[in-house]
Amino acid sequence: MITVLGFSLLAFAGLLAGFYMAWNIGANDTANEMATSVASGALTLRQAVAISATFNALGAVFMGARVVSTIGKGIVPQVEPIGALCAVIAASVFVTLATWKNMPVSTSHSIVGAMLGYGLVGVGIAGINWFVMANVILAWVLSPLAGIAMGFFVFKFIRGLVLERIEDVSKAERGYTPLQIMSASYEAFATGSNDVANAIAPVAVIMAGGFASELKVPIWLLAFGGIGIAVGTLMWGYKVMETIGKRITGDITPTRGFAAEYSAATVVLVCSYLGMPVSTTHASVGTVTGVGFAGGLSAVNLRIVGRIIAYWLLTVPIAALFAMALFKLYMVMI
Amino acid sequence: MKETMAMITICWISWISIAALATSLMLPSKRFSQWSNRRIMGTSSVIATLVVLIILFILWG
Repeated sequence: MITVLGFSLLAFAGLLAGFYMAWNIGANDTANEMATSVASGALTLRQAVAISATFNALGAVFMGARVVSTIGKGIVPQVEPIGALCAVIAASVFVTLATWKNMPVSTSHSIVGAMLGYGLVGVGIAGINWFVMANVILAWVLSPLAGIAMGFFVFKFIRGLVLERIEDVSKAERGYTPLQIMSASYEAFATGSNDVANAIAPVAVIMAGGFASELKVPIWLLAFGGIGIAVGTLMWGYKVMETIGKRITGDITPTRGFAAEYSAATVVLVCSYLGMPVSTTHASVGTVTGVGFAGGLSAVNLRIVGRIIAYWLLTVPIAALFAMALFKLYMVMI
Repeated sequence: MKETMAMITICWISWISIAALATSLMLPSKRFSQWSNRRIMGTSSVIATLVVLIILFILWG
């Protein structure tokens, strides 16, 4: 058997693909949560990258081990190693395209789409868990709407409690800066713990030689994913940060940024607690839009919001098509 | 693990809500301006986050 650095060829390819997926998570997902902090001036881009790298890695290493439930959210219950590899490459390529176009998309949904594509070709319609797909569709509607409502009311509350009651508004903004940094740090921790599995789970499946109900994930693999996320944020994070932080609604201040970040964390928690499917990316875009709406309808760039929604709707079909093409190519080659 | 993360998030949201409320109430005071140095507040907020996460992780990890 051919080996590279002590790994089988398939495992080595899995590691490379996993790192590429982690890089994409850093460039797209992590950039989401740091966007408002950078836009408000609470953090410089370099500080945001340093903080997100630290907290992502901590989240990945300490909390990222629950792999099984997150691999494509179980859309294909029986995954072959080669199917996992095709899915992670296909999902990564789609997220790279979206990031290149500065669009925030859900990496979880792209891996669900890619697994769906592999599943349709590899195991057939009967082998797909359609309940997972229904949850994804529900999340498209639920997450942004809940985010808009929460962001709107939290910012209205802060405006009534603070901004309208003190004369020096800049003082209030200064006071909210550390709160915004704390919120962003926590969101980075949560992303590290939740999303590192999107990159590492397929690698774990490949290394285990197939899907198993109990997959042991070594710490070095989680740290490897954490490093990939940090590199992605450093290299391309600015692209999505600019869209969320500056183009949805202009003039993000620390109070607005805090309202958006706090609301996104709360929406994700409450929806998860109630058993409703929710996407962090969609919730974050929703809360920034909601905070923008608090300043009036004209404060939100509806053209950009429309483009973002179009990318969300395209995530699953395009990632599925990429995965189908890759798996078909593999079938032709062997 | 999912329950652990939920507990940590609940604690986190409670703690940040209290911090936000305290900040909002302290803003009108004159003393606030004396210690609101951006660099010190930024660094201490990152350290505070780390400490809180470590405590929460020890409690539920």
